[in-house]
Amino acid sequence: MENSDWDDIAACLNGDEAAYERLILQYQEQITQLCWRFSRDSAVCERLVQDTFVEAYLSLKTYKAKAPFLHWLKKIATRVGYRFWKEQDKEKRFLPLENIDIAAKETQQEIEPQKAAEILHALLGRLSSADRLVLTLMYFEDCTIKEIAGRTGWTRAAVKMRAMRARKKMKKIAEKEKIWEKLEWMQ
Amino acid sequence: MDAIKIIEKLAKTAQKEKLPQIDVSKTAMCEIGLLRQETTGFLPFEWFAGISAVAASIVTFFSIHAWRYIVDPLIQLLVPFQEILLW
Repeated sequence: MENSDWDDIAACLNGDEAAYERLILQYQEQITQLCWRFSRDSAVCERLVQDTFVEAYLSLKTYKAKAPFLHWLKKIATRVGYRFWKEQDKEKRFLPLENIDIAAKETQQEIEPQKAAEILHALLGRLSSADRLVLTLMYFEDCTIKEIAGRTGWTRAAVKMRAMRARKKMKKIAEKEKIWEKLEWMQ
Repeated sequence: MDAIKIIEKLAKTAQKEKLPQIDVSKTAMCEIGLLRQETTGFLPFEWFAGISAVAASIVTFFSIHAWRYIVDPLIQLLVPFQEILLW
């Protein structure tokens, strides 16, 4: 962990709020990146980032400095995002793929990152919260099984099993949506 | 092409996506400040609860001692007649 982080955390535990503001400014970009995977609505994403930093502040005393501060923050952000998805699950709403204008073969050779993220987000949205979380961390964050287990608190075996099942479900969904026909030119 | 392969390719491309610029430093600190105020509001109640607990402990301590000397008034009434022969 960076020394400045530790100094700021110690100062914060002694009641220095400016120190925590410095930590927010330092890490909010990385946390935004993670929260953006949970919601592509700017207002919701902002709320998730804010909730992450508030929760982190309230449990700052429990931070043992065994891992970098950012890892700890990401763990909290994952929990906040997962909770958001579970709430969303009750409504069972997802974006139809037809609404996303997938670039045609003739016009573009490479899909735009934003469009790719939109398609993937919509596809993942059809899975259950737990399956979606595993694949989101795997695909968007490039997390290993060990890292996902660390972030979610699930066992490695459970994550491995869930990832395998989620990929199968995802494949079925992609085939049902005929995603390969729409994106055949990506080959 | 395998659907999973396409998805993986999409994911690789999606990682390059530009993210929205979000600054939550002010709003988060504001919320933390409000939460801290709420916590301090509870402090007098905590003090009151603490003092009540201490008082209750003292009363309990003396009650246990006093309990040993408490006797049944009915038994006390019969004590003088214990030595009387019935026949």
